[in-house]
Amino acid sequence: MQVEFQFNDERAICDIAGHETLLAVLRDKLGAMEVKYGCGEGACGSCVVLVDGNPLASCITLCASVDGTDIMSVKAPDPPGAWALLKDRFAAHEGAQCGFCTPGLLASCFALVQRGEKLTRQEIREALSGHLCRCTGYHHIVDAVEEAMAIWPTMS
Amino acid sequence: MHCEVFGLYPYPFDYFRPNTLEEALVLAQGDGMKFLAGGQSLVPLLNLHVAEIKGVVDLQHVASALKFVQSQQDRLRLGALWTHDELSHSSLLGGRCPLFSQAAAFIGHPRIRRRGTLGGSIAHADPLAEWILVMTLLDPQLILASAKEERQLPFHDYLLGPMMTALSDDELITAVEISLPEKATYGFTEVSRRPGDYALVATALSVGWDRDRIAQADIAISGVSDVPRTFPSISRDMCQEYPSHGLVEHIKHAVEAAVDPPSDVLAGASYRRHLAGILVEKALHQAFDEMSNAGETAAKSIGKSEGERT
Repeated sequence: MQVEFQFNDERAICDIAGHETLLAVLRDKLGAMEVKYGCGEGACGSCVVLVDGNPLASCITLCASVDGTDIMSVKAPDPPGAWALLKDRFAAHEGAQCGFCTPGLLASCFALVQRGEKLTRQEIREALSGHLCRCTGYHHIVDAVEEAMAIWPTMS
Repeated sequence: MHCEVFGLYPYPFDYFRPNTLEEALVLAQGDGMKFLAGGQSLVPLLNLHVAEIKGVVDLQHVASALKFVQSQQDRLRLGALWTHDELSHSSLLGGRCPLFSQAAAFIGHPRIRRRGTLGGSIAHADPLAEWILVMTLLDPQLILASAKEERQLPFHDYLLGPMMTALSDDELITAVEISLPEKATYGFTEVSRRPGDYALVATALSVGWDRDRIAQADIAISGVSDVPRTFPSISRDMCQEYPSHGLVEHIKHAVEAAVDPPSDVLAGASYRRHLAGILVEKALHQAFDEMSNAGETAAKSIGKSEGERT
């Protein structure tokens, strides 16, 4: 079957089979290597992309089910600068160590920041609880997100 | 051999996205078809090659028809495709049966809660799932639909064992219907190794009230046996009693004595027994506190209206 969706502001038309996951199509057909295969169970968050603005684990999302949606990864064009702000704060706080969990984490953080959420440290931890960082850099990640949330309203 | 070809991606299957419930039910009559709701349990199983199917019937266009709340005096009928996240807002049920929002808040992490559904969880029937515990406690009627017929099945006849149910391959859970006592409060709490993990032990309980006296109570605990269990005789001990510290202690010790939990890599039997006692104590306090809060609010509003009158 054919599916069509926007991926990072470009139109993607793919011939796919029913069993293909969004992760498989993004990586193997569209070459989006920033989308990582972690656990395959939707638990680790490495494969998270934004589908119509909502963070979704692409490894447990069938590609056929996202027909007609707008999908963004960390490499999306970024005129408002929210991705850049998050990447900058992650870098400043050393929120990325090996970097494997980072693209997925940034996608979930992007959704939080864009919604104008202003969360406490505990709430940030709960909001990001679907992401595992095996370098255990959580403290730095929370620092980065907290700061991005404080700065974003002054930028947007 | 398969692994080389498919990696950890699902084996091939077909995909259908019907626009109506009727179409979905007809499609499900095909051999090896599975309904796909939120996909939070099914797709991981397909990725890991634990489940093999011929095709999925994606319910995303049917979902809105299976999101409803029908509230009657003594019962509540809930559409099966509400997501955990939607059920975590107590306003959805108009303040009735706040157990749903209490339990939903413990499910997985935010991404799972936004996708996973009540019906999907009941169909998957993981014995440690919050909804399976809640259903064990409330023992609702499940409304099961197939292309041939619609039938009702009480939950206690539905759950046959861990991940085993009386659901036929072509049947869809469309709704759950709960009988509600006139005045009840609830408790729900659990302990897991990390937030978002399945619980080691979880407790749900309901207390029905006759003014400030306990008219009826039910307790259900998961993680202490292969599927969640209830404690009818211990619950009966609470009837006609007033909430008190002594009563909580009595129930806590009775539950600790009654459970016979398994030991596994996550927790030993004695720790699970300890948790069962602590969690029942906590959940009882939740239910009692909710009652006394409601009492105070009522007293205040009476006081206010009297004040207005004078």
